[in-house]
Amino acid sequence: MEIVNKEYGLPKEKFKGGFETWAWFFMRISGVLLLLIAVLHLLIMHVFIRVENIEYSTVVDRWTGSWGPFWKAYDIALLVFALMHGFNGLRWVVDDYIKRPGWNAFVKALLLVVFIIVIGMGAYTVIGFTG
Amino acid sequence: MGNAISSLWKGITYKGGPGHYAFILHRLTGIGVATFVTLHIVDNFVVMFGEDAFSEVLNLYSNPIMRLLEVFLIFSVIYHAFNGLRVIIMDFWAPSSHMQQKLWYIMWAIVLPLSLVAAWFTLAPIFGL
Repeated sequence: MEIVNKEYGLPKEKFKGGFETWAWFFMRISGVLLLLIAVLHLLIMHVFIRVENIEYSTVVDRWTGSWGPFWKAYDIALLVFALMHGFNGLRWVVDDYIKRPGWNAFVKALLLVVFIIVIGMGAYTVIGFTG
Repeated sequence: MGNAISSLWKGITYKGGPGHYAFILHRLTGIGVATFVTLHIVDNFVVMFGEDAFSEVLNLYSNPIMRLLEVFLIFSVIYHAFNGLRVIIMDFWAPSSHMQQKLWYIMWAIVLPLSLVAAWFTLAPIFGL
């Protein structure tokens, strides 16, 4: 891929890869995907169903009804992409403001631990729920 | 800690105009949504402990203060989504500053009405509407 900036005459840069370039690229891809699936999730839960009408049975219908496998797959995609996008964003925030190497590494390690625990809890809930 | 505060302060006081405010708001909404998503996964985990436990969690979300926070959440997601899309368009297709200014207004023309409609749906039940 080429990133071209004609207006300012900056040199063309070839897509070289590497973790940070892929992380940058992932944020764009997952961002567009989340624009669709997270906004639709919000529209369904907050406008069509409305939060005050959500009950235990709403979850039962959603995950064990005839469309259950679809919604489980949808929610796993939402879980994985939202958390990866969110925690990579938080990692960038930490890199911007916490400059001291020790603290920087400590806070990012903490983020990684929270990320792993939460993605585990989410996956366990979505996959393991039987009603 | 002092270093973190000074780099944060530099980030806020930098005079970058609309693009800079867009960036600050993108950060704030991003941190807010990431925090909510984390809480939301934990609260959904309670569904595994049965109907009574889950109902108690759901009750937390129905009080007026939470409904107000819900409006902030919806605005945050919508703003972050469409401002993010604006950033992607600028990254790949629209380097000219003229286009960037247009995109900024188009973004708000989408985000504000959507947020207002969502705010209405969220807050109306509190007032019995």
